[in-house]
Amino acid sequence: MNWRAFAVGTLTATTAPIMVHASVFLTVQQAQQQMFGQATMQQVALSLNEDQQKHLKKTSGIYHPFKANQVYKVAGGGWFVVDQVLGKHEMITYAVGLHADGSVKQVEILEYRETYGGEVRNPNWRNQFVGKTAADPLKLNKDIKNISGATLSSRHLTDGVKRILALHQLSLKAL
Amino acid sequence: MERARPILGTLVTIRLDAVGHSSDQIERGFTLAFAAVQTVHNLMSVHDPNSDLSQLNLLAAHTPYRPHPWTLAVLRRAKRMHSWSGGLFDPVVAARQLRAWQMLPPGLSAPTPHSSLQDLLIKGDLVWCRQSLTVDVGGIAKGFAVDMAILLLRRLGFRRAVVNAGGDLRVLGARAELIWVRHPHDPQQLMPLGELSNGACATSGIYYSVQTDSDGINRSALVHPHTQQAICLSHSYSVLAPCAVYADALTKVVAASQNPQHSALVLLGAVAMMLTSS
Repeated sequence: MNWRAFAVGTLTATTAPIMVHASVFLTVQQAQQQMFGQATMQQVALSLNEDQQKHLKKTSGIYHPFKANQVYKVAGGGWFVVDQVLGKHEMITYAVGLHADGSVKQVEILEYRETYGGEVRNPNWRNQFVGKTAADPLKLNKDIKNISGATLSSRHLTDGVKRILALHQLSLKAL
Repeated sequence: MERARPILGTLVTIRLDAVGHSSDQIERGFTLAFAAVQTVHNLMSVHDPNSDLSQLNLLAAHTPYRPHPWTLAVLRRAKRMHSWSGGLFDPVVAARQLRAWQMLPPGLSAPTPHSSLQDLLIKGDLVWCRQSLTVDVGGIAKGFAVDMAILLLRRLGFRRAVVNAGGDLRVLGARAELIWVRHPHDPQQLMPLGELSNGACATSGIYYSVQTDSDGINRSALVHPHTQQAICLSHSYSVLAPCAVYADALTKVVAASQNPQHSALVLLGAVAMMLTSS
C-alpha cells in the first residue's frame, strides 16, 4: 500500500459553495445491449391514468409520478425500463431489465448526479495542495471520484425497482 | 470505464482501466466483480432471514453450523479484529444495541443479554455459539466484498481498478488515486484526503444514521461495545489499510477508542486520519 496524506493526523473541514458532479456510466443503448445482447427493442407508448399512478405510489412509496416514456419490450420476451429516483441531494437515472415473467434480470445505473460543496473552484484553496499531489491541482475540481464515506442508502433505488415490478403487474404483462 | 449498481444496501461502483483489454474482457470483468459483491450480500445480510448469516444466527447456538467459506472468512477476520482491539470491535454487542434501537430487524431468535463475539467459536470450518446471539458483520462485509471484487479483477488480468462500496474503497494498481472524504457534519462538503495506490480506505461517520429520540437518547450506527452508547462525535475517521475488510473494521476501533494510533492499526500496517469540523 502506498499512501500520501495531504495533512498529518487531523484534517480540518471548511464550508464552501455548492457544485454539481455528474457521472455517466452507460447510455440507454449500451445498457440495453449489456442486458439483452443484440435483441431488438420496441419502445412502448404507455400512459398511466390517475388510479394507476396512485397504485404505483402506494406500492413503492415514491411520491413523484412515474414517467412512462422509456419502456421497451424486448423481442423474445422481457422488458427494459428507464426510470429516475430523486434523493435529497442526488438524482439517479437507472435501468431495470425484467425477464419475461416479470422478475428482475438486472439493475444498472445510467447516470448519477450529486450536489457537492467544496472549495474546489477557489484557487487559494487549491494552492495549499500544490506540491502535495502528483496530480495536476486543477484536477481537484474536474474529477471527483473515489469518495470515502457513506453515501445515502440505495433505498430509493430499491423503491424504484419495486415500482417497476408493480408496473409490470399492473400494465406490462398484459401487453 | 465505470459502472454502478445498487448492492449491499448502497451504491457500488467499479472502475476499470480498459487499456489492453477487449470489450468482452471488460464486460466479463464488470459482470464477475459485481457478482462477487452480490454473493457477499446474499450470504451475509441480516435483513434476509434466509441468508447464510441469518441461518447461523438461528442455528449455531444449538448445533455446530458449517457456513459458506466466505462467511467463515469474514467471521475469522472479525474474531481477529476483536482480539487485536481488546474487544472494541464487537459485531455481536453492536448488533444487540442496534436491535434495541430498531435499527436492525427483530430477528429470529432473542440474543442473550451479555453475549459477545467471544461466545462465537470457530473450529475448522464449523461455527458454534456458546449462547444465543446475533452477529451482524455489516461493519466489515462491505470491505470484504470490495476485497473479493478486487482480487477477482486482479486474477482476470486487470492492472488498474477501483471498487467502491458505499464509501469503502480499494485501489488496485501502482498509480495513485486521489481520495476524497465527506465533511463529518455535512456530507455534501468534500475534502481531498490524500493519494492512494494498492490499498484501501474506509471512513466512518454518523451523518446519515444519527438520530436523537424523544428521551434525548442518541442512536447511531456506531456503537461503543463497552458502554453500549452511541458514538456521536463531531469527527469522522478514515483508515487506510492494505485491504478493505480491515480498513472497515479499524474505523470502528478508532471511533470507539478515539485513538488514531491504536495498536491494531500498527499490527495491520494501517494509518488513521481524523476529520474534525472546525
